[in-house]
Amino acid sequence: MTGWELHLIKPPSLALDASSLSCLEEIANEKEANQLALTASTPSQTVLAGELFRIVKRNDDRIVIIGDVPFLHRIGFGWRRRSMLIEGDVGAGLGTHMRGGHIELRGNASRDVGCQMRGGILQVSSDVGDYLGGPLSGRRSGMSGGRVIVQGNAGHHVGHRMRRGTIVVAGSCGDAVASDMVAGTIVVGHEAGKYVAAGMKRGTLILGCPAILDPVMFGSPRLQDLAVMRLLATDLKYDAPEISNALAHPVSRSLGDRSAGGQGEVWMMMRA
Amino acid sequence: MTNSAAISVAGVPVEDTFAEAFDMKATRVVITAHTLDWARDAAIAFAGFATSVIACGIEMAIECELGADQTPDGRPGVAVLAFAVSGKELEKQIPRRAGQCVLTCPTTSLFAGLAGDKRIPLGNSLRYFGDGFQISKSIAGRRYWRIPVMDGEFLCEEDTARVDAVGGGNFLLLGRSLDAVAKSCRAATTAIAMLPGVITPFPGGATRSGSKVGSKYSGLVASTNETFCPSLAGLVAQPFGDEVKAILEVVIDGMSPERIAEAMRLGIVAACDAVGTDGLVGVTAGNYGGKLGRHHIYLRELF
Repeated sequence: MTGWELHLIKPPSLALDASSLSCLEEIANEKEANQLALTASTPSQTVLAGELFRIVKRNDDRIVIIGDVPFLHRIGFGWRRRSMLIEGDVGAGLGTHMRGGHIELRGNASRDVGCQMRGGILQVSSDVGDYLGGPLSGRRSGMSGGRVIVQGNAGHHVGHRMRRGTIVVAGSCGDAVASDMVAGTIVVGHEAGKYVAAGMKRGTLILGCPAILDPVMFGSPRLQDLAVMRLLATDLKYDAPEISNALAHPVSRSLGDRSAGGQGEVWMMMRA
Repeated sequence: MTNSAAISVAGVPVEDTFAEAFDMKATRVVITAHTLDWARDAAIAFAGFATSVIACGIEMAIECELGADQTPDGRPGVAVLAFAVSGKELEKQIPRRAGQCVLTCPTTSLFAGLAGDKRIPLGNSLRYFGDGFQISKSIAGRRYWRIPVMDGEFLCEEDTARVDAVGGGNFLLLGRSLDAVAKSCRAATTAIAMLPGVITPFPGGATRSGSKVGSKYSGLVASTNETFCPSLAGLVAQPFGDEVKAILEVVIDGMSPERIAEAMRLGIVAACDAVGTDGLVGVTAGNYGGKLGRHHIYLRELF
């Protein structure tokens, strides 16, 4: 397999759909790589990858994008098996429909990161926008597998309608985290905004800091020490070490959203 | 003994014969608990009435105790090995036993102890006890079920693997007295208990009721092996002399023929060292003339 390195030459004047760059997983020919078309919002407007980037082969099988590309959306769309590194900021939809492999972003991402993701590992070193791991507009289900790790903060609606998989936000997140969540695990290291877990059906939301839960929606919190906490502590040892350590002690656990007939759970760490 | 002694161990003659082992299916599970006592209690119940596939359908025993650093959830635990003649029998026995003996035991959790493609259900069957309140949780690529119970939650991995294994490894200790053969047998099973990947499923690791295939009574698949019953001396032909007063058999199941052979070697050495020629007349092994199993473990090749 051929690895590729994409060096940004000149930012375009319009936003582009970069989902076609995922074809680099399969391409071994330099000419084909340069001919990949990135479409603008009007399909008739396209920019070739070779016009945006200086594309060179690598000795390994990684795909590396170097430079801030906030005008490129849906990078890593449907990513399947290889490793991608992006050094710089990206637009919306990073790792949308991702199925496997590994994407590492050393920078910030806009909204819709990991939307409808099904597998693989997606790591972001800084902040991400709204709807992390959520559904794409008009779709019923959010992320259904894989693991997203955000070292910074996340926007609103983290894990909206999430079905499976794990989201770890080391920092804080905005409003409506885990809203309408169906299953899976969401970890937020610090503060969460309003409307926590509204409409949650099932799944686990782990909060590093206390949050206010609507008493109509959630039962009163109970201190509990469950066997599964030890497994999660091991699983989060590297991605969320503070949470991992806190899971060695009983956590405050509330069940709901009762108003939606939900049996989800919100854990809050008891800090000294 | 009918065949000449090929070798001796601590002066005790070891007959030139072979143990006849046969193919089985095996699985391994790990039971953890708040304390080792609870884990052990669950494991003993789980592996109860599992001495022989003849009537129990399965052969099980505790393989070893595990420290907190050796278990998935960082609690003390016990590894249990189970052997059956078919994967289907394992699928029948393991969930039923897990439901009645591990799920019911305070503070326990149940985990897979093997990796592999062929699976035996654990939580996949037991989850229904949760009556809709059970929670599925995927962690690090493995799926678990959390079933609400009165002390919190019963955490149970969805399934465990089953692998090909070997059962029926054995050796018989021919004693000059009941006291001597019991002592040597206990030494043998204690030594074998240290080995990973093998179990001795009978009580205390040994059996006194060595059996033959069939019976004069219709419907019985096995009956006492009168050839090895010293109390019938003079009534039936026996392959040993008057000096043999009591015989005990150590039966071994293992994950491979090599592990069984190693367990047999270690057990025979321990037994012979324990009482020497004052206690043992000899050591032999049980076989069916090579017609039952394809694994023939020759005693002479163990040493």
